[in-house]
Amino acid sequence: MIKSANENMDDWIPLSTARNMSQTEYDVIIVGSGAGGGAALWRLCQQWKNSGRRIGLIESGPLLLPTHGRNMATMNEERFTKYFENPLHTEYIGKSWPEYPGAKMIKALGGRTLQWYMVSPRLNPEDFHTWPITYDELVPYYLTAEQMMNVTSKYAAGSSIQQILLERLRSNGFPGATDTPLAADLEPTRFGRVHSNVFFSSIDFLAYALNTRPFDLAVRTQAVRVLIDKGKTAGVEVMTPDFKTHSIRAKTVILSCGTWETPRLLLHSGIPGRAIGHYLTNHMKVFADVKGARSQFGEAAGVASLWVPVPGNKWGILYGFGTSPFDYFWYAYEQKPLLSELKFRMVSAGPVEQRYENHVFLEPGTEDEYGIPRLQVSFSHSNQDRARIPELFRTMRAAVHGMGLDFDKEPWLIEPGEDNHECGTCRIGLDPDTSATNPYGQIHGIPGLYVADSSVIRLTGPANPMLTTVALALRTADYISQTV
Amino acid sequence: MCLRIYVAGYGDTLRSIASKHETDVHALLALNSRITDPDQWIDGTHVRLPARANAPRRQLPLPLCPVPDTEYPEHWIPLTSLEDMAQTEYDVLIVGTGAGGGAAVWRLSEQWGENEKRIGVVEAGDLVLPTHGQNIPTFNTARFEQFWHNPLFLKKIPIAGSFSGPEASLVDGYFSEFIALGGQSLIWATTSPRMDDSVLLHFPVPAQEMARYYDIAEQTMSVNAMYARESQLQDILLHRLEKQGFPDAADLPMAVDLNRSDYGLVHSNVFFSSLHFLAMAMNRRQIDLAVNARAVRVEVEKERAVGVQVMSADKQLHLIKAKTVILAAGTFETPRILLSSDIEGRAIGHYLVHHSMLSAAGTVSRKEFPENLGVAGILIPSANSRPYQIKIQGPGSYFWYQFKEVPLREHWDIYLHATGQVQPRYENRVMLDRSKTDEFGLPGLLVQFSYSREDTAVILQMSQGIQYAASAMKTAVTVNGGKLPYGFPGQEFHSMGTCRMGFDPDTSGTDPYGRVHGVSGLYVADNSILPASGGTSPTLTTVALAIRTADDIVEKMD
Repeated sequence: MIKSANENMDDWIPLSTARNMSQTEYDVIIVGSGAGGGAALWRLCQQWKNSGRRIGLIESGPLLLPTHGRNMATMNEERFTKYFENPLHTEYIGKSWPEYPGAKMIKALGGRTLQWYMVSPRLNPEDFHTWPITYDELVPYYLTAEQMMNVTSKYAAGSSIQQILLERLRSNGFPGATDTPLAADLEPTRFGRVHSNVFFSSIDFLAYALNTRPFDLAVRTQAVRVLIDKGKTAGVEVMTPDFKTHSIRAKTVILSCGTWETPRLLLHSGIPGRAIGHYLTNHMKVFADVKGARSQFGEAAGVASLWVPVPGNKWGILYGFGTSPFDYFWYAYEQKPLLSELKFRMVSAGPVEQRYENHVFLEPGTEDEYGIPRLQVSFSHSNQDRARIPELFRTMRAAVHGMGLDFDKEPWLIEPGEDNHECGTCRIGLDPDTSATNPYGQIHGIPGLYVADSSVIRLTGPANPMLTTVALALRTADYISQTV
Repeated sequence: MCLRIYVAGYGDTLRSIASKHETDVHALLALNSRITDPDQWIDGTHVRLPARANAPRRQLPLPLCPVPDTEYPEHWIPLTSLEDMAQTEYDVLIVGTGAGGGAAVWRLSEQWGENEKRIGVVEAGDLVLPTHGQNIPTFNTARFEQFWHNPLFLKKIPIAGSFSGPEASLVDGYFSEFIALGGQSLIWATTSPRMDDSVLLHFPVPAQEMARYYDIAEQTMSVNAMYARESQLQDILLHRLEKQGFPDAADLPMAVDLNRSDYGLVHSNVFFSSLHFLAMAMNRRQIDLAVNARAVRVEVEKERAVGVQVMSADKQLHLIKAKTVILAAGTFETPRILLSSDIEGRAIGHYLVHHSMLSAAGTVSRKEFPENLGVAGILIPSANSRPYQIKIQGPGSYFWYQFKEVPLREHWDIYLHATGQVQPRYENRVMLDRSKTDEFGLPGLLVQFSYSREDTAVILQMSQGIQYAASAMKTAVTVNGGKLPYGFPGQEFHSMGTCRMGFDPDTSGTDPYGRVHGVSGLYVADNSILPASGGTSPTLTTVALAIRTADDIVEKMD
């Protein structure tokens, strides 16, 4: 349980152990500490602030960084990139997935939120027409998520590049061009409230939770099986690095291990559901590096953070940032030289069609050190997807032309997985044949077993899925706090 | 060739790691003395591997994509192994990464830019926090204290015999030091006042020069007095103090970056630490940095420093050659290194001072204040007539906070914290205790320390000062049995003076530029050089002097 006031802390966050946690019966156990797990944890702690309920969180990875990597003084773009490219920190699971080669996981407290790009748009209202919930139902959760994550459209405020490029886009066929919503706390420190963590990570959710009420946290604790007793959730079986098995009892379990690990755990636990692992989607993305002369912009160049809806094409979005790539997230500890040419990274994106055939499955004979078979991915583009790819290229060229910029590197389609936007393997819905979880994220037919991560998302629009993941996780936590 | 550290994964043992890396298990046992059993599960342990040229890359399973031939940093700051550093002759080698060492590294980098000079840094501690603890989202005041009091990082140096406090009560006294990359600057309060002119008179540095280097230090550390601006608590308490006999009470100067993030310029580390210096230096030029690298002795040939013997965590000694050595290991470790190096000097290790310390908690009623209570951060500075400073902070534990809301309360605690002048006396000293050795086989340290009659008088004055200030602010102070709680030396980090600057080698360890008397190419740049401080927090002055020392080195070497 929580350490007493006189006890020393060895780490920057209070830790329990799997063994200690196996001595407690929890009201809720959350598996995974990325965006979904962090959001669910904070919301439960807030809703149960003054109750004696017991909340536990387990994370398979270690403590890596106590904040988003871009908040760290000793990182710059090059060091940051190489740090996360280190195979010690990032697992390149796509290396063994021929049809999904770009996939990666960061196994650490906070998961990929330690490294994400913080782009935080909502899905569009019309994206919800195939969802079991409406946009309006999600709005309060979007608002809370945006507030908690400090989503702002002011990252590029005051920048002449931003103003000029937006004007050019608006008058050249992209009337809705605007600022990118970014999860960045730009506020100055005032009245004792410290703003030292500009770029949001799930660690911030954990910090809010810690300051609200106690919970138990164990890291390096791998969930190996969801325990079901007489059709109801009974807890999780976990393994520690010494391969000792512990059962952590809980009547409610929230799986927040991500689009890869959540279905893997469900499949390995023998949880039935035709749709579990299926309907894998992501974003097809066309990247381009573009450039323009510095002289066309004013003195206060700053940065550009462009969010460009595509007229007549609700499924697509174009966004861009710059000057790219080394000074968009620019540090207080080095000087930015005056450049003669500015570079930008532009992205044209749209979702892959949701199809049953795109799925993950356990591959027998590939068990990892915990005895869980590894995943394999079956993934291909549909005719609709293939028809949309040229459209992504066309949009890119039109926008770059509209901005009066030139290509520094011609547009290219990135590999599946490099987008980091995989979703859908436990998607929500009403019909158990075509969805893994109900509209609150509960696995169909298994009381007490929930999913709160990107795997529940129906990626029906071009918006980056993180904000929606958080909004849905908050909603799932609210539902649990009201029904448990 | 580079430092090779392997983080043991699930189920790893030294034996399995040895076979994985095609090395001998006995070699690993020798390198990793904390691990005694080669078959013990050691997940998460940082295992040192023998350095090896052209190490074969580990084969990843099913490499569909070619693995780029890149060195990936394992840590959040680039590190160099002592083995590699031993292959280089440095122009400057800095020992220690606290405020003084960090400032020297930054200034040298700034002055030299990307030239051919080589700068090396060795730090005895490990990577403990990547920024000041108050910037870490998961810390609040209580958790932060639980963390830094951990004996893993906080080392005690015993006071010989029993320590006599101001109330003549004998206790087992000790001083303490925080050992980590960044040193005590990871946990300091960021209080950054200049020293009073009456104190600077005792410095062997011209006042104008001090002022210039204070300017540079303040600018680099973002020192400002804006932290509590527009807070009603601040305005009203300051007003009361000014009216009631403390006209010099002022906004607390702190090393805090209060800027808004805009134009892509990100201000993610509000509270300053020496890691900012290292970050700025690394963004300017190449710096070789080794951690867990304990300086043992300075090698001197013909009265010139030629390098430092440094011990690695696996207890291997490496000679790091250097034309110039800056010792910035702190008030205890710097004299330890000098004494272990048989560097003669009557004053080295002597004239140890710290600040006597008293604290009190006062209470204010919330009703006396309008909306926007905010925070109070006030300094009643040390001055000629006041041999102590009083720092006033509140409300409660909300002087700094993040990721929570401040509750509305009827009463708030306001903390008064006073630090007082201690006379520099020859008999207060740190010395080698050859009867004890630490885990590296190095002699232990022992401190002789007592208060003089004058020191005790200052403590009494300070106690009255706190009570006057509290009553001026109309904050009822809790006083137990008429006496304020007294802080023993180990509870603060203001130890100074053991290599104090001066002209006379009989009464000073270093000359006015921090050069150790009688050895050329050997400098000191940490709190140990301060010849006086009144009751003023020392860090800003140490940084200013370290920058000046770096400038002296640049001038001498160019």
